[in-house]
Formats: sequence, C-alpha cells, structure tokens
Amino acid sequence: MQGKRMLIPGILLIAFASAFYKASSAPVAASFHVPTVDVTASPARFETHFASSKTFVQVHAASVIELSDGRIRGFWFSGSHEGAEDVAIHSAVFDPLKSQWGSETVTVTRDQTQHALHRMIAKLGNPVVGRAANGSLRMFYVTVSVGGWAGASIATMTSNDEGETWSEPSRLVTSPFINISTLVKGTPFLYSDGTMGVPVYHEFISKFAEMLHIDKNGKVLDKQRLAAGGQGTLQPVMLMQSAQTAQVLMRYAGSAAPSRVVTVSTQDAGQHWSAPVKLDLPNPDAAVTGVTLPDGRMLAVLNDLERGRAALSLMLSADGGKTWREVQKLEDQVAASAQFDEASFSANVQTLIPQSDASTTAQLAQYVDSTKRTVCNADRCRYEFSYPYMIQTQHGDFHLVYTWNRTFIKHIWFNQAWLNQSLEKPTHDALH
Amino acid sequence: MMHFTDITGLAGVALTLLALTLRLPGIKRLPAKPKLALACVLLIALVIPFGNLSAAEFMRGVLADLSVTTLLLLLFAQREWLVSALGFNELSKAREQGSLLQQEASASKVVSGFIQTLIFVVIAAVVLYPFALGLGMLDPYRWGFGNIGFIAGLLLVALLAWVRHYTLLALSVSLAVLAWSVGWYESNNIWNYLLDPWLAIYAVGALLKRAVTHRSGRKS
Repeated sequence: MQGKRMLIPGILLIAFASAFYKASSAPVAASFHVPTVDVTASPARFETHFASSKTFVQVHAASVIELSDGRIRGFWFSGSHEGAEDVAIHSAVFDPLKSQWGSETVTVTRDQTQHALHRMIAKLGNPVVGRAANGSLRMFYVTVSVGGWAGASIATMTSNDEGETWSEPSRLVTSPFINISTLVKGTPFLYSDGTMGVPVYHEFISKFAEMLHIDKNGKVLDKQRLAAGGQGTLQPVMLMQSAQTAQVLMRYAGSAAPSRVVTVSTQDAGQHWSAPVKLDLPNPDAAVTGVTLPDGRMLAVLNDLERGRAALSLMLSADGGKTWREVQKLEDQVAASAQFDEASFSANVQTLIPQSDASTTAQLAQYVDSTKRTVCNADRCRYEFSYPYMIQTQHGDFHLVYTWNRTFIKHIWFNQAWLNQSLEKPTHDALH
Repeated sequence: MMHFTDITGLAGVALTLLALTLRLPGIKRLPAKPKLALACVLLIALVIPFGNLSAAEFMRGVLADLSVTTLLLLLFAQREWLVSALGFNELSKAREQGSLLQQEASASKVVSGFIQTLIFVVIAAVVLYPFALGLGMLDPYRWGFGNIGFIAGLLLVALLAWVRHYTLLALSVSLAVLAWSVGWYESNNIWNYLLDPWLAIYAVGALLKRAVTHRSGRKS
C-alpha cells in the first residue's frame, strides 16, 4: 500500500521536473528582424495583370512572396465557390523580366490535407507564405472540419524549392476550444532569433486579432492577444518600423460607429501592445494591407468606403499613421454599382477586364461570362475588390494582389519611382 | 507519413469512442471476456479507413485531440471489467483479503478523487474558456505555453491532491503535465492536455446530477 502511495509523487516529480526544464529552455524574447530594402533606380512602373487564369471558378484570399531569383509567387484559394469541397490552394509565378504570370498549379487540396492531418477536413481557405530563417518557405493556410470559418484552424507546410513542392501539412494548435477559430490573413515575419511571427485572428463568439509566435519547426511558442473580443478586430497586418517598433492595422468588424481601420503599436518588439485605436481610415468590415517604406512612411491598400467593396485605394501616411492621403484610386465602381442589372454589368466588365490585363483579349467573352456567373445573382450584380495583400521586394518594388470580383486574382506591380511621381501630383482628396 | 502525434491523437479518439460504445446498454453488462473480444473488434473497426477516412479520423476532425484527463477518467470508468478481463483477479483476491473497513476507506478515497477531478475540470473550464473566447484582454490560454507560474500552480494542485488522497486528480494533473513535457500531442499548450470542452460538459453534467441525487436523497 505504501509502495502504491509513493508511485504518485514519483510520477509527479518526473512530470514537473520535465515541465520546468521545458519551460526554462524556451526561447527568450527577440527583436524583430527588419528586412533590408535596397531601392534600385528605375523608370516609373505601374502595370496590372491577372495572376489567376482559371475561369468559372471563385477565387479569393491571395498572397505573394518574392522568390530567391526575384520572381514573385502567388497563392490563393480556388474552387466552385467559397467553402466548397473542391476548393484548393492554387499558385502561379510572375516573372518580372517577361512581365507575365505562368500557368496556375494546385499546391494542396482538401483531400491531401485531410490525409496528411489524419482528420476530417471540410474546406480550405486563406493561404499566406513567409520565408523562414533557413531560406525555406513556410505556408500557413486555413482548414475547417466542422461549421463555418469561425471553426477554422491553421495548417502549415514548408517548401525547400521556392514553392514547387511542399512537405506534408501539419496542424497548429492555437486554441483550447476543440482547436477552433484561428484564421490567418496577414504577412508572416521573422524575429532576430529565426522564429516566426504570424498575425492571426479569432472569430468564434467574438472577434479579435492575435499574434502567433512559431518556432523553427512550426510549433506554436506563444499566442498573444492584440485586442479584446468586444473590440471587433480582424485580419491584423504588421507594419514593422524598426527592430523594436511596429504598428498593426486591423479590419474593423465591430458594430460601434464609426467603422474605421483599427491600429495597435508596440515599442518593445511585440512584448506589449498599445490599446486599440481607430484611425481616420474608413473600413467597411474588409481586409486591409500595408508595408513600411525604408524611410518610415507607411503604404496601405484598403476599401476607402463606409460600406461595400466596390472601390480600392492606395493610401500613404508620412506621420506614423496619424493622417493618410490617397495616392491612387486602384478600383472605383461605386457609381457603376448603381446600375446593377446584368446587361450594364456585362458591358462594364467588358472594358474593365482588358484594362486589368491586356493579354485577355482573346478570351474576353469567356472572362466576361465567368465574372457574370460569379458575381451576378437573380437580383443584381455586385462589384467586389477585396482582400488586398502587398509586399515590398528587396529592390524596393511593390507587388499587390487582391480579389477581383471573386473571379480573378488581380496583380498590380509598381515601383518607388511611380510612387514618387504620383505623390508629386496635386491631390483633390482631403487628408483622412 | 504518420507522425507520432497523429498516432497518439487518433489512439485517444479511438479509445474514447470505444469506451463510450462499451457503456451502451446491452454491451455494458456483457461478461468481461466477450466484452474484451468485442472491444478489440470495435477498435480495429474504428481505425480501418472506409473510403478516405477511418471513423477515428473522421471523429478527430469533430472532437480534436482529447485531453489526458479525459482518457484517464474513461480508463477509470472501465477499470472493473478490464481488471477481470485481463486476468488481474489476483489483485481482486488480495483486495478481498483486506478488511471491509479498509476496502470502504479505499473506495471512498478513489470516488472522492473522481469528484475532485471533476470539480477541478469545471473550475479550470470557468477560468479558461470565457477569457479564451475573448472576454477582456487577459488570455489564460497563453499561460499554457510554458508559463513558469502556471506550472508551479499546477504543481501545487497536484501536491495538495496527493496529500488529500485525491489520487485521480494528482495523476490527471501530473500525467497531463508529463504528456505536455514530452510533446505527446500536436499541442504545445498544457491546457489542451488538462481538459477539453467535452470533458468540461461532462463534468458539469455529472456534478449537477450528483447534486440533484444528493438533494432528493436527503428529502426522502
């Protein structure tokens, strides 16, 4: 009896000795790794393309990463409709020398994910990719087993050949509640010790932004809350300013007027975050994206509207996000949205498609039909320019991708010279 | 390739489904040996893929990996027939040789440990879930990623449970912490090893049922 009684403290001793050892060997807080940007002087450039090429599918939630040879690889989800079983993560590569996108390939399917994770997976969503400290690519993408997007978890996998092939996905466990409700949308970033930060968000019962800290093997080291549930923040995007300072922009999904982009900031590499503050940037409960320029100015792309996603703007702030000016209206179909019948819509997109990608002329009718099928229902056709995702390359160029009417992923490539030129033009828009 | 954490996760789900099936009326009262044979057949049926997925894989998508405490309580619930089926009757005989008083005292401690474990689960659920779901800025789930103070708190709970003879609670906490230390599951968070929502729901239900039974017992 005494022997049995002493078994418990034996187990207890081993368990807690191992636990204290594991806890004490966790990495200590590191500073941000700020990517170096060496702007190459070149003539002003602003060009647009469609990154996706499949028709009669719905596409959404694109992201991009610069490859080691300077090309750009894009990822998005594509299938018969959002949430459908046939939705897979697709990819294509943009060659800046040829100024064109290559053919679209499938990176990972629902079946492959289900098989690798050894559990039922009902649908896939948002993919984002970061470059790990060892040079490999690490993808994070959303998976759902039961219910809607609020029931999402994140899967991760790596590629050692710039996204041509990928390891089997594994699961990130980020929540105590059946591991549900962690979604990803923002660009991953590195800490100085080679671990990775991933901006994520929670949607089940309440909505709030969070930051994941991932080790080199893809294990979750920490999860930090950026805003409380009642603050209705989603889809955080990290704008790093220095090794210690950064600002996060977030979509506002709350009900308290006014509907504005919400921000938090840190002065100690993310150990502590300020209270959420609404900026003067309108936000119709839609994703935003942004980057910090080498001189500290901030660029953001967002729907500069209180409602709807029929317009998309490139904005700049030179004072740490306090005030913003519009650099360029990238899309504007607010007026056209008033004529929502199918005939008006078809006539309009017939002109919009070649403007977005000049190479589509041969398939224009097919592209128009595909767009019509995706965004028109019995009542009306709705324009949607959403889920922007922007990066700055090592040489200072900007690559922006976003959902174009749920039918194509649109890509805009512009450079510092074009940005400077645009900023010299007088603006008719009031400062936000 | 199947990872170690897939084997442990699927095993947990399969054993849970098996244990619940064995609690069904008709199966529950089967003699020990046929029950063991049925359990083996059921276990194989749960892990063999039908189409793309096995039943265990399908249910893992719904349930997620189950906490160490859940598995321990399920094992505890199956202990009597398992002891008999696995031929550990010698132990039972040895127990029979002890005094009736000793047996009662021992049974009382085990049952007491069971109730205390359920109470611990409910308290943990109340501390964890509302805040983890967004109530305020404090997120107790974050403590589970190796917070030294949190581990020290669990050590205190385990020690107190041992001192008070709540064996099941001391074992649950210790084994959950040990499983976290060795990376038994995919999760790197102690909370996922300590409890899960299914266990929390069961614990609330079982404690409520017990309270109602006690109350009606007193009245009669």
